Amino acid sequence: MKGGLATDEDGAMAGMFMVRLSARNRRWIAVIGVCVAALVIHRWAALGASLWLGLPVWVLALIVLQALLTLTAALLARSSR
Amino acid sequence: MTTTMFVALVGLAVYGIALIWLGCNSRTPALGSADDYFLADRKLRSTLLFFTLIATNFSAFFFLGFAGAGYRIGLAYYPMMALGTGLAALSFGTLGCRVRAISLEHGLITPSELIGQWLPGEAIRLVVFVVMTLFTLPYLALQPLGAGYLLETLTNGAIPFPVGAIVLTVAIVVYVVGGGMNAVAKTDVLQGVLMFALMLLAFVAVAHGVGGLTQVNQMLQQEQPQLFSGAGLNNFFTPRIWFSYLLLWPLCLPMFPQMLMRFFAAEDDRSLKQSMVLYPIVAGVLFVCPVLIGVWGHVAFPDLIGRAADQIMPLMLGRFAPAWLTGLVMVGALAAFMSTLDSQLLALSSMFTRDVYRRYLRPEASLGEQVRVGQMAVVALAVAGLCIALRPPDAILTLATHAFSGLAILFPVMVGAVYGLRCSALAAVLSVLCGELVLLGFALQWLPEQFAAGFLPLVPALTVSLMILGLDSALLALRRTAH
Repeated sequence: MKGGLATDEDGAMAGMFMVRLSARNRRWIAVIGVCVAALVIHRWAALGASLWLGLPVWVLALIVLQALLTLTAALLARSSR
Repeated sequence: MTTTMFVALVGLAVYGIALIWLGCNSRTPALGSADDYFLADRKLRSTLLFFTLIATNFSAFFFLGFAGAGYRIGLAYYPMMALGTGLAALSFGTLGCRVRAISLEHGLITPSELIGQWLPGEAIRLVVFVVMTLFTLPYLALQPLGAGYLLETLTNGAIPFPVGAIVLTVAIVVYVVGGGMNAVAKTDVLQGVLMFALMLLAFVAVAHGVGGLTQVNQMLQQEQPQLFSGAGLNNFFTPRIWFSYLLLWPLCLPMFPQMLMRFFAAEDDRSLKQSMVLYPIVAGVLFVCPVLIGVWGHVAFPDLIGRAADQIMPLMLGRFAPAWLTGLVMVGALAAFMSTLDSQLLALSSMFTRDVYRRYLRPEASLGEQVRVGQMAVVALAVAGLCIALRPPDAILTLATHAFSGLAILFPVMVGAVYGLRCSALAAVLSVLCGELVLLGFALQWLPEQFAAGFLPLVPALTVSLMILGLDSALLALRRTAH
């Protein structure tokens, strides 16, 4: 009985670990997503792109990406080691 | 005496006094243990840690080189550097936390000791020590070289290059020897604040001088649209080169010994994680300033060629900013030189003390003796750096230009060490050596450029390194399964 209880607890712990692991993985997937988006935006940065607020739109898009990277860093910081 | 020169000299004198005062006040009564001297007793908290990471990483290249690159390449240089640095910062709260925990648990101080904790034998320790020293020492020598020339230019030759280089190095040695990491971190706060404030002031002054950000960018875009393209002038950033740089920064930045050892010195994980979050913000906000000033340089100085472009920041300030501000901003550039040099001196001196003196010459050396040897090593390294700076051999300058890629090759082995990858010591050694050999092959043109397939040489070198580690790890796993 005791053993069975321990197994259930282990199962629950393993489940929690899987949830935590996948959450952390999602954050790293977000980092990879930022890198891929940076490569794609750079590829699309056409010669003579229009300016908005004095900066090319593709640079502004990369600034937004930098903000997303910061957000991802904040999420990574919240996750346990 | 011009206003610029007068303000620069007064600013430099005040700054120098503040540095020495801060350095002397950082000397704790308990200074006597290696942890205290080399790692500030592992008690660098959020603000100190953040500023010391920033000031150590942002050398004078941030002031002068970014503007030069903005002039030579265009605005594309900004997002590449900002994103690359932001990605590199992710290692602070991930790799950094593991490094901190392992180093604290085992009382480690240097990167070689960290690697030695993972793999047996002396070879891998020595390889890491040699690679880090080989690529950091020339980079260290570049700091007094640049600072000396900047001071000479700033004072119209009144302070000749050798005198400037020697005076600045002596000032650094005084507070590094006196207070160790504690002094370096505290002076880094002053140097970091100076860098931020002066760069933002310079940007506002020059933007106002050229007629406003929107107007000048619209005009330049019509005249030279390539300055605002993703590829930059002369198609510098091909997609493969862009990819290579995005890979280079995150891998090389944590491998600088002076950066890695700040992970050892952090008080807790929270401090490292806070730096990880703040770093991309600072890079995103600050990096655009010097790059745009460099881009705007085409309005006033359209004919600069090659390395002359690195003078665009003082030139633009001289043309568009008040004279007093030009003098102050150049003091900020000197602060950037000094904050990188002091950290390099301390990191290399601790490596010489622990990885050479204590490991091979006097294993029984007490902690107090290690501190004294470390202090002597700081002086010796400063003298070596000055000697190189006063008569820089070509080979040293070449090494310095390959420092980033050379250090990035250590990344897989270091990650393996920290996360407990199973592989043999031989494979770890071969992984680093073969990667460095590939880099050397490209640098000396033994390997044709086509082998890099349009990427920076780091990409093929890293591929070779990873393949060796991966193959060995797979073979070990197969052997374990067979048993």
